[in-house]
Amino acid sequence: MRIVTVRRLSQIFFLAVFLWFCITATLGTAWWQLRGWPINWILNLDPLTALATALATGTLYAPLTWALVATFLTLFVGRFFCGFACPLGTINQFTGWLGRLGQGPAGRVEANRHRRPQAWKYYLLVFLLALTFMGSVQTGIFDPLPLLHRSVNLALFPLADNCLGVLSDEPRFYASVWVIGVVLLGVVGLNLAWPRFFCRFACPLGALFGLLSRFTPWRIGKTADTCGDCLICEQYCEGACRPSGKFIGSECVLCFNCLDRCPVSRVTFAGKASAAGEVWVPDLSRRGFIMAGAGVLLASMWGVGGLAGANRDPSLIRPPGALDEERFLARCIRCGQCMRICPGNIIQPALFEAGVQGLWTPTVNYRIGRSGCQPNCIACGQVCPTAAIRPLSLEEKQGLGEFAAQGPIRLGTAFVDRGRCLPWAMDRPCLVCHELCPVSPKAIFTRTVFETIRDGQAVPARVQGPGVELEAPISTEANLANGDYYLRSTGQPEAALRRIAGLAGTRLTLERPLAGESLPAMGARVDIVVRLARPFVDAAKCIGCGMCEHECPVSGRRAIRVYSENESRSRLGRMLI
Amino acid sequence: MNQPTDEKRIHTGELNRRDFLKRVGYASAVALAAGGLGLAFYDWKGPAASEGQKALTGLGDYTPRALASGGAKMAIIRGTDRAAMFAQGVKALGGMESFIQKGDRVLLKVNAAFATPASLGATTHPEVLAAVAGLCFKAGAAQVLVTDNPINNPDSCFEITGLAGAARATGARVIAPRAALFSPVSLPGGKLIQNWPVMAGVFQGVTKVIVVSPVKDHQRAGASMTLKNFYGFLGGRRNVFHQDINGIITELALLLKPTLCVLDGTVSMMTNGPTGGSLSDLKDTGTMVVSTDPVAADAVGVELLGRSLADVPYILMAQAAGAGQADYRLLNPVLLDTRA
Amino acid sequence: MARGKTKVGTTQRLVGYGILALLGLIAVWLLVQQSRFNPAVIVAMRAPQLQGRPQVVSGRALTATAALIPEVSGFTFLAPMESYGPENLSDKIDGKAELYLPAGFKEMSCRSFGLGASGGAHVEVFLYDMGLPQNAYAVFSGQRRPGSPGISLTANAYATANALFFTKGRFYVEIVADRASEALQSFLEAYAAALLANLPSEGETKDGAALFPKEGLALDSVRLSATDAFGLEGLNNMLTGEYSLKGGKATAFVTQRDTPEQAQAEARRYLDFLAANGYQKIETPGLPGDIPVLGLDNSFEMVFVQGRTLAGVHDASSLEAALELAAKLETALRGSREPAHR
Repeated sequence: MRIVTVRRLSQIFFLAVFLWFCITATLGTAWWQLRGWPINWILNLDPLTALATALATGTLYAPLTWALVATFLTLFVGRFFCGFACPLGTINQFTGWLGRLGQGPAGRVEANRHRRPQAWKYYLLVFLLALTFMGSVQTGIFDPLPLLHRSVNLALFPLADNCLGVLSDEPRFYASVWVIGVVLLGVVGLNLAWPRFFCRFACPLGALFGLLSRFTPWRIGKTADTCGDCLICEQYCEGACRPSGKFIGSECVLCFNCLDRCPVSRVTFAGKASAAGEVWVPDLSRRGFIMAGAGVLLASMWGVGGLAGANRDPSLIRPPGALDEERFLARCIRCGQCMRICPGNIIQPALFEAGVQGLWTPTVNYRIGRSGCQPNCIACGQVCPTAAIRPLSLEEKQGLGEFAAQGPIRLGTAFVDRGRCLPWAMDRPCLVCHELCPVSPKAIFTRTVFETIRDGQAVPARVQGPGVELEAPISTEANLANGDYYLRSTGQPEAALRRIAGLAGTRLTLERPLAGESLPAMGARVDIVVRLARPFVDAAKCIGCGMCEHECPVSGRRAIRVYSENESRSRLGRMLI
Repeated sequence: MNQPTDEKRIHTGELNRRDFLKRVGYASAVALAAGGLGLAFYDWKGPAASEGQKALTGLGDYTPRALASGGAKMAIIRGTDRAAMFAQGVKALGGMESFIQKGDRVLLKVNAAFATPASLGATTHPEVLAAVAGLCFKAGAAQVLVTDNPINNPDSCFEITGLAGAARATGARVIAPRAALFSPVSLPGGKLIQNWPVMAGVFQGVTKVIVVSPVKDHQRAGASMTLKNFYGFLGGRRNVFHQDINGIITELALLLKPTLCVLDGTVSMMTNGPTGGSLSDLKDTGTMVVSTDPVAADAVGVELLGRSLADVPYILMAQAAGAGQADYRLLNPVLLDTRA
Repeated sequence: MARGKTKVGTTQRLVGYGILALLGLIAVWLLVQQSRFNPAVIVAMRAPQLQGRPQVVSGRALTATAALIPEVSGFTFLAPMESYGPENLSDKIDGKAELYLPAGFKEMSCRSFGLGASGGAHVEVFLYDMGLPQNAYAVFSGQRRPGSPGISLTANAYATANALFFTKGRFYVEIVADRASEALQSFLEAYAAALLANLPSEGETKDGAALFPKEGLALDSVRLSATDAFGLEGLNNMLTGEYSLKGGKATAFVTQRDTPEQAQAEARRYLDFLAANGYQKIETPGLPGDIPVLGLDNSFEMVFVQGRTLAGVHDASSLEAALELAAKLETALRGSREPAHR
């Protein structure tokens, strides 16, 4: 079997596995759901993620040791991952192939010519590692594996969900996801102009693999310096690594097309240098590295005006178990796994809510999705590949058992906006937030008041048993007979309240007749009062789950909203003592 | 492949072989290094909920050891001349030498909370600071440090209150708060001071601590005197503790045991505390307390404000917690009058 | 092109097979892994089991009523048991609590069930402990849905299209489904039977309707007002029934006091109350005895006492109806009254 056939099979295999992992990133036990599928496995193989988080945190989170496997293999054979495994590489190679269909040999050779800007990806890598060194992990924005996970999870599959409803019975919503989609379209579309554009010019993971291939004992090479100059190898070269001339080792993605296509079998994969000469990396300029090193400066400036400290945005809620902002940004690779798995669909990619350095990191948005953060769910932390969201047990999330002392994980605190709340501002009974508060005892409690409704004073013409005939009808849009409205003698706040059971024109029917001292004197007025249970939040009990905010009937800017105050993850937000 | 037939080919082949082995060696070395680093950094259990920081358990016990047993622990001095009142008071307790020995590094905790002139009585009066610092040096102190973590901008606070000038005049050094001076402190058994940033850095090398405080009304706490002055050691967003002001002051009383407390009630702020702002808020109460017991000193201050212990709950709470004696008469205070 | 003809070397072939074998191993490993469920999935699966155990929310210990709600096969728990006392009853039933609280409410437990056999209907069972049988009867009769047929489940029971309501002893029970169907009704009755088996047998309240003359009585209108009948504070335990008579509509009422004197005093208090509300005494020549008739506009009231029993006519729409009902009521009461009095 030819090695290129094996390569194609391997590429298909990894792309299929990748897509399968994206499909199964749905909470459940059905064969197409999460079960035990190691949906982070491809992300775990990523040495850039491992290196970046290790530099930023000083630790290597256990699942990321898989990256050592990819590292070892690369050290000995080169960028196998780019040619055999990378799902984005496969997509790039395929679209590049589509774009070259019908193109003549000269055009193909030109498309695959080595170009100086291929050095850019090394500068990008240095830039990102410089940021990382300052504690800000931004690799995930460019790293092909998080990039593709994010794009498929948040932009492509939701399209499928919405059209077919296969993976999710309700459409998935992801805020501003078109930006993510446009990036993917750009990455894929550029292949039509330049094959494997992203891989050759931009991919920081490819650059890292390229650097790791410095000492590969086996590599592509020619057995003789001169050959027929047919340049067939160049026509099909995926890495633009100049197989016909002075071979550039770090650019070779091990597609083996040169070896396969050479009409005289002059190209080998062997333990010796190419007869036509070889270099390790393309021309890298000092200028490029100096510019890339400015990443240190950028990260430092982020520190100056950081959003993690005093200037943090209190509406930035991170998923349950998320580390404090500084440590969080030292881990999150923006892969979107938490956003895909969240059964409530409330974990959303931040655009600038978390600052520029928090682009596409997960934020919690209670206005959208299906509910607040469900108390019985620990999915986001369990699928986070880097533990930026810690894998919580249910006991820890709910503050049970050994975690009883520290209490449940708090995402923030709900605040009632009394200017928007129906019972507070509009004289309308509501109580939705109180009903939905899942904490026991409830963190939302109410105080009941009876308020005279607008234009709610009337003069009874006649009182007879439960019937009260008014001199003039009450002008109100509300249904006075819905059980929330009462009648009471004006100016007697202590007088008995009688619930209004019916209203027809000027005739009110009370649930029970007015009795004794609460009977209005002749000509005295009565108030129509509404019973309002006004919500209050017990901040010591509130876990910031957002059930109340999600369900609040004031649908735009909710009348009860969760802010990060008192969130478990940071001491900065501590509000109560 | 053809067999090499001439010298050059053999040579190339050997070179190739040597190069190959070298590369295998290097690649293995890098792999080993990567594996080793991976192992060194390996973290099987993931990050902890919050960054573990070593917390101090207190600011220290600076109680004077050399104090003659049976000697007075407290003096209450009437008068108007702060320097003279302090000098007489400390003399009655056995002289400054009983508290400060040669070579001591003394920390003076003043109340410099606001950037207001000394005449408004919202801060420690510079005359007392000068008197205390001067006697410290006279007793042989190697260094006298003056500090507080004020509410307004520290530099303007120290300057406008005249405290910086008094310090300069006597040779004491003002230490303004900065991030590096704060480290987390957890008071054992404390409920409030847990992993909370406290200005512990200023205690570096310090051997004696004297707390110099004014007598002031305080809206939230009832009164601000010696113990409330300890609040100035707290960092972070300390205002959350206003939810339990008496609790936090009680815990602060346990955090530090000072060498000496000087409570200056020559002029007291009777109303609109702790900022005051008008001379009409002030009253000549003509009294200074020099005491080793901060709780007893504050108990006297409460009387100067015309209040009772019931109005200022933290004093009895601090006594119950073991920080001192609220019934200051039990300490048999020496009563002096500089005007006599 | 030459590549089709190129012979593939042995090494290349072996390496290729090696790689394919590795891919196969990876596939096998993935298949093995997927059977070891992610903790998130385990938790998601565990949730329903957690709910299966009787749990009590709102911090109350498992209450007496909670223990009486049975598990019946076919009914699956949808939510934990909930129990409420007088202090938090309104958390569950909001304003309706004001019906129960004055009537001596002690505690209530409720639970949601799913009824798989009936197309996934949801059923909620409410068990109220009202302290005394008459209290249970008061809340039962006080909210009786007009026009719903009585059933033989207990002495006081009726059914609506989707629910059963009944009392037994001091307990008042509601079994409410979220839909109506014939088949469902039998399931509800089966559940009711299981629940009844748990309830202790104790003094029953007689069907109040037995006291009233049958002719013209709307059977489902018989109510027991535990407190403040007709708006008069302290007029408690008042049994009322509505009549449609030839002369018009009228309500009969009956209540008992401990002694004849108390009954007389209560009658005077009620008459004073009516007078204070503007009722005028109406002269009715030829009326036997000294039964007073009061009227206001087109509403007539009559009050009389027989021994310990205070009875009368309330809100009659005509004088004729009032007199007719009073006569019938007096006769009926005389027939059933205890011989010891009078």
